[in-house]
Amino acid sequence: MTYLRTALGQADANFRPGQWESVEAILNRRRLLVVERTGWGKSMVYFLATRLLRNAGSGVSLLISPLLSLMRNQLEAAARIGVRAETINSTNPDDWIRIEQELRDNKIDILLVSPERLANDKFREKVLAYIAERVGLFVVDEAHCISDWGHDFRPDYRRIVRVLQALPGNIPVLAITATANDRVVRDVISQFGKDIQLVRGPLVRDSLKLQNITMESPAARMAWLAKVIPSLPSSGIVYTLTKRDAERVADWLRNNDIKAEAYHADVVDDGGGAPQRETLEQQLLKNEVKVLVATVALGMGFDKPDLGFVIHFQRPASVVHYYQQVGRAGRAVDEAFGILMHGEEDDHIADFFIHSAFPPQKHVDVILRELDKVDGGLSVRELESRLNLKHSQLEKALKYLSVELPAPITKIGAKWNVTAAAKAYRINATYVDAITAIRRAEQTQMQAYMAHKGCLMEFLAKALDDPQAGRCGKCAECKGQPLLSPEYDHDLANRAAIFLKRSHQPLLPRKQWPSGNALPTYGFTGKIGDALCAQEGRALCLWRDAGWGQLVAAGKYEADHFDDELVGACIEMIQQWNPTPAPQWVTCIPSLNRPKLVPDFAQRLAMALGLPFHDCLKKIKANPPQKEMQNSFQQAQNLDGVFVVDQATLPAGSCLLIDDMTDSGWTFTVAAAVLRRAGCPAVFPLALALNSPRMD
Amino acid sequence: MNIMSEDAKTILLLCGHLGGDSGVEPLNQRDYNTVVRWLLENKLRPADLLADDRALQMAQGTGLDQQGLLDLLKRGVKLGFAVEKWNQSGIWVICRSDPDYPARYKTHLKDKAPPILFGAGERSLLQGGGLAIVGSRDVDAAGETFACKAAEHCARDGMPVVSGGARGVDQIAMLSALENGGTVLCVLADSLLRRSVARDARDALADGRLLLISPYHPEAGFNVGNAMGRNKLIYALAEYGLVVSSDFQKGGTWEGAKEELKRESGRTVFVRSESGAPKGNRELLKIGALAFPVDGFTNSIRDALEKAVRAKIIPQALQFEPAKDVTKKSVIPPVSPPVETKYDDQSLIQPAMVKEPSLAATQPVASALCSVLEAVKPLIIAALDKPKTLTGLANVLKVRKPQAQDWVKTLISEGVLEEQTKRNVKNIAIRKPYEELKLGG
Repeated sequence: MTYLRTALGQADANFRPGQWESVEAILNRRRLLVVERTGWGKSMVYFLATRLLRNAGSGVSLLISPLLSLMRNQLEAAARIGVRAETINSTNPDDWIRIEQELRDNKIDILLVSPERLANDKFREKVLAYIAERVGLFVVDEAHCISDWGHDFRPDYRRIVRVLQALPGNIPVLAITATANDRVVRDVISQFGKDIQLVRGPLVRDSLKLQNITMESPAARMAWLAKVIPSLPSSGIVYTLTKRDAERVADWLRNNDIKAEAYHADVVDDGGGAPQRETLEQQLLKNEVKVLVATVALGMGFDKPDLGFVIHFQRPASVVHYYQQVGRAGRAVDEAFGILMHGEEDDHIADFFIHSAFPPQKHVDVILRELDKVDGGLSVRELESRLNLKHSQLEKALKYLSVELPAPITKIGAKWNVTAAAKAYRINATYVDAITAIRRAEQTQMQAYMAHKGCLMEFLAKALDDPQAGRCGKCAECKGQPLLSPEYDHDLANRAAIFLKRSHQPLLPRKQWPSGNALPTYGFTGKIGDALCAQEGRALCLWRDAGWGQLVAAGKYEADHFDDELVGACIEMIQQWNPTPAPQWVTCIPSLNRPKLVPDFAQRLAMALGLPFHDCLKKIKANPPQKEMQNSFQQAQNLDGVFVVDQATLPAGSCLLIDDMTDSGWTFTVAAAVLRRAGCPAVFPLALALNSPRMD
Repeated sequence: MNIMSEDAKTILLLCGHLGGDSGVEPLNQRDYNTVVRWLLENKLRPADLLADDRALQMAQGTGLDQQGLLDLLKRGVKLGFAVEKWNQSGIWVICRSDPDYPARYKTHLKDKAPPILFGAGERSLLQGGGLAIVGSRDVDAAGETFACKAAEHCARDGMPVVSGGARGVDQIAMLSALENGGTVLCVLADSLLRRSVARDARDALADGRLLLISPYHPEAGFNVGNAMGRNKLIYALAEYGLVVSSDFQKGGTWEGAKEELKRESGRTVFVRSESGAPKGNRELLKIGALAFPVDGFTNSIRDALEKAVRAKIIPQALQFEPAKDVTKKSVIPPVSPPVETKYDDQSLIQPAMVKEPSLAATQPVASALCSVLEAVKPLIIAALDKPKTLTGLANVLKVRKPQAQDWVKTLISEGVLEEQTKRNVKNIAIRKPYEELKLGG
């Protein structure tokens, strides 16, 4: 009790129901699953348990969590009772050596490790080996990920579960989560393999006010956000399904004078020391931004007591996902808004995620077949050079196969090997079908929620098997009218539509040739270097996207001619882009199959720019369509010796290099290198469309 | 899913190398046996040691280093990592307390039976049997052919081939056995994990015809000591041993064969003795090995070996030198076929069991009857590998039922045997604690 009060800095603090019992159970070396909403104080349980265990001579507590680090207020509370926590994950490798030493010196009380790190054998053997011998408490955060039936399929958790099952009975285990329905709870308990106690509390939030809005067009939704957000209390979060949408919406809001930042797994560090994601979280906590526009990457463990609103730009995959995100609002404030918006692209995105959840059997077959041919295994790069699979597809399949039991593959050193189990291995189709069926059912349930005419909170609570489900009296349905008007400004929507159209995509130049000798005719290997590198380029739009994307597709596949409107759009883009040193002439990527399509467009663009067009890049070799090549090695190899420059007609000065579509960027890279080698000082790639960057 | 028992986990904590950087030294065989004896005396199981107070008690009771023991038992998370990783690669772990631990190791190695075994492949093959085929790396063409043929005949006769997986004779024999549809049991001195994913092993493992085991960590590298140490494990898993080619007074094959010949309850060791066989082979004959029977490849190799063993039993015993401690080598026949023996020379035959102080105290004073009983006690124990009815036991021993009954009665009173009634049938079985003691744990 004293410790609790010290930690919270409150002389009159008391344990919440179940907190002390949980700590006690851990001290008795029991195993515990705690299902309580955010803010109940799950971290306090393991802080106190750690403090008491350490007092008795125990080793460090190991906390497995996807969090980047514990929240500042949590760290402060821990520090007050002398519990020191450190993190080891992929964002702070420079700290690892120091932390390792401090672990050996027994200065650290809690070590936070991400599930991916834990699944990495080398990491386990090098960094964790020493402390693993004396870990006194094993804590698994986001424990619902252990459940296969749960909404989060995380391969790394499958391995964590097996580690749990292999632990002897004298190691206490604490599993915690803020979202789980009965089925998930039952599944987690059964997977623990031993008797495990359950501590469970109500999940609903009293002060949260829910509303659903259906608005088909993204532009309309963006207009609505721009108008409504400034009027909402405090600061909050807008959730999107894809990183691209997070960036675009954040951009749009900033254009409308709203302090917004994008947050997703790939936000670029500003080089200021702390990882960018942590900086953004801090900004939101301190209300220095009005809104973070985020993907699911912002979620795990983020806790802001005065979060004023959580708006979903698109419909999430399941009720449990939705609640996990919206349930962050309304913790310690009187009123908070949870708005769910739904539009025309939602089903398409949901289908994409459902389809790509498991690697296809034929990918698995070719990978196993290739590995079986050799003794000593193959590295990922070697597999890429032998198989026409995307890097991401390869990684996904390898990851999936490596956590199957018995695993058909195993990694020894840097090479993947097949095991004896590979011979009889097939993806468990029943399992895949069952999971897919569940995902579909979840999708249907979300659709039902959107259409629900009764109490929204009750619907969610029932879906989570909360025994205290009942009418909230606060949501839009209970009130019988919208909390926030779904009206949007049509002018604003038009501006949003134009904004979407104007989403020029930068094309960053490649800096490295693929490893292995993909381009022997040219002799390109290693770094690309300043002498051969292309400049940063531009793509007008995203393939088939709303706006120009449709027009480009029509031009390529229907009319065999690109509309003049696209010429105008490119001019505008070039003006905004302002490539320097300004290009003096225009050329394009030649094609043997469609010799007129692109050159014709390039000529018209050149004329409109007042620049000469020179057809000096020639294609001397036929090759299969670039889009059929799935990974870097294949894509580059497909271009070997394909282009030459007609030296006689090569003009002086930098040039604009035009193509209709770009995907991996290898065509531009190789063509630019050939031009540079022939003497061109700078090459600016320009494509009409950029093909499907990753959805997620 | 292969969830290890808490007992097995505890044993691994005490004895296992869990890989990587380590601050503690696991128990060696001797110390582990000490722990087991203490557990039996106190009627506890290994898993009971997971409670701190029990562990302390045990430390006091055995005199082992207290802090060291506690540190070993705290390694649960590292154990979790290690076991998960091995399982992931298809490697399982078994301990002496597990039901499918090789009974042959318990019987023939007793307290030298390794507490932990790592393995890959079909677990049921752990029951072992068959012919251990060993030899040096450098083997001439004649030796190669011989090894091949021997393995082939074993395969045809349904005898497993046991070997060490080394280059040369071992691998030739293994390959030949597999090619002829036989089963192979390979006791590795190192690199179990790497060997389990090697191309030549994968298919056989998947088909259940190959078993790889090792008492050493799955990623252990090669060292000579380990290579020597596992030799007895090869012989002990089989019914007979066959040396194809050995150096003289040096090399693993020579040392291993010599060790086996000297060992109490060692397997019968045959050697290739055709002309042209290396000197080592001939020298082995002088210290107790048997020549591989001339009719070995005529019909059933099993029958030929069996016949040779029976023919040589008495002279074999006469050649033998008493070992340093009380126990002498007694010829323990293979587990299945019953052997009629006439022992009347007490000095040659001694109880083969470990002389536990507590047990010794309960032995009755030697009398004429008891000396014969002592002589046949090993046969009775061996015959009761699985519990049998009195009639069944008498048949196996080829004695009259009343005689068997007398012996059984005495042994029951000594606490060696017990009656078990199952579905109204009375069976005789070895009493569990005794078995554990005899086996060393």
